[in-house]
Amino acid sequence: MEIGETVKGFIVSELMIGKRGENLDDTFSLIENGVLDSLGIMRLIQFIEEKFSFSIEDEDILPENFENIDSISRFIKRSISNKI
Amino acid sequence: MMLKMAMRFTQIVQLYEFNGVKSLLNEFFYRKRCAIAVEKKLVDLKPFTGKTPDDVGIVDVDSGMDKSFFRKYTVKHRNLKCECYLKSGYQAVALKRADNVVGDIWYATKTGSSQDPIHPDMEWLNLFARPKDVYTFDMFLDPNERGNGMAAYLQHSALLLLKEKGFEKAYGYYMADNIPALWVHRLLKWEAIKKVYTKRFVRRWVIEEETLAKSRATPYRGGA
Repeated sequence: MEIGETVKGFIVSELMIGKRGENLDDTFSLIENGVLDSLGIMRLIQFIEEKFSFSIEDEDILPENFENIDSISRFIKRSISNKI
Repeated sequence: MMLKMAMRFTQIVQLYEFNGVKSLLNEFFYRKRCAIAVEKKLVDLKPFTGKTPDDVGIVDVDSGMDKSFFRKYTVKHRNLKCECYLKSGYQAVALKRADNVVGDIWYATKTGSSQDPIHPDMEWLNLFARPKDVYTFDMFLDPNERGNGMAAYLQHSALLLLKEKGFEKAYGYYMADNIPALWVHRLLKWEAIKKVYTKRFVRRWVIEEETLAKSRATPYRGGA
C-alpha cells in the first residue's frame, strides 16, 4: 500500500473516530482541524516509527512535517531515503 | 519545608496514578535527558485561531483568589499542589468546565516574587528574568480533558492573558522526549533557545548546556 494511504488509514481509523474522515483529502489540515493535537501526534509518531522502521528525532517533529497527509508522506519518504 | 513536601508528594502521586511506576521512576532517576528552554515574544502573539473547546472558561488566578477555588479540581490531590504554588507567590491561569477546575498553568514574575531567581527552574536552565518577563511552568490537564486541542487552547489563552497584563516575553521549558509538550510548544511557535542536558537522582545536575543559534536570552548566572 502507498505511504499516503497507509497514513490516511491510520488517521481515519484511530484519530478521527466519529469525525467523518472517509473523505479525507491529502491537503486537509490535520492541525487546524484539531486532528493532530498533543495526544494525536504522539500516537501518529509511534505508528510511523513502527510501520516504517525508523525513529523520528525531536528536531523533525515540526508542524510543517505533519500539516496534512501530503506533507507526512513526503516526510516519511525523505526519512526512509536518508536512512538508506 | 512542609509546602515543598506537600508539593513533592502530590507530584509523586500524580505521576504514579496517571503514568505508572515506570514513568515515576523515569522522572526522578535518569542518567541523561534533554530539556529544551524556550521563549515566546508576547507582542507577536495573535488571537487563538484553533478550534475553541466547548463549555470551558479561562480564569485568572492570583493570591487574592478564594482559597477554596482549587478544591473544585476534578483531579484528586492536584488542588494541594495548586494551593502550595499560590502560597509560594506564583499565579495561574485555570481552565474551568461548569463549576469545576479541569486544568491549570502557572507563572512566576519579577513583580510577583521576591525570590531571585523568580523560579528554581530558571537557575538550572540558566535564564535571567527581566521585569517584563514571565516564566511559565507546570501545565496540567485532567486526563479526561486531554486531546481535542485542549492543551494548546489553555497555553495560548494563558499567553494572551499575560500579554494583556503587559508582559513582553515568556520563558518555559519542556523535555525533548515529552512529545505532547514538545508539540504544543511548537504549534504555538515558541522559539527554542537552548538545550540543557541533566542527570537526576532525586536532585538534578546539569551536565551540559548547548545554546542555540537564535538565542537572545540573558543567562541567569552573571545576568543583570
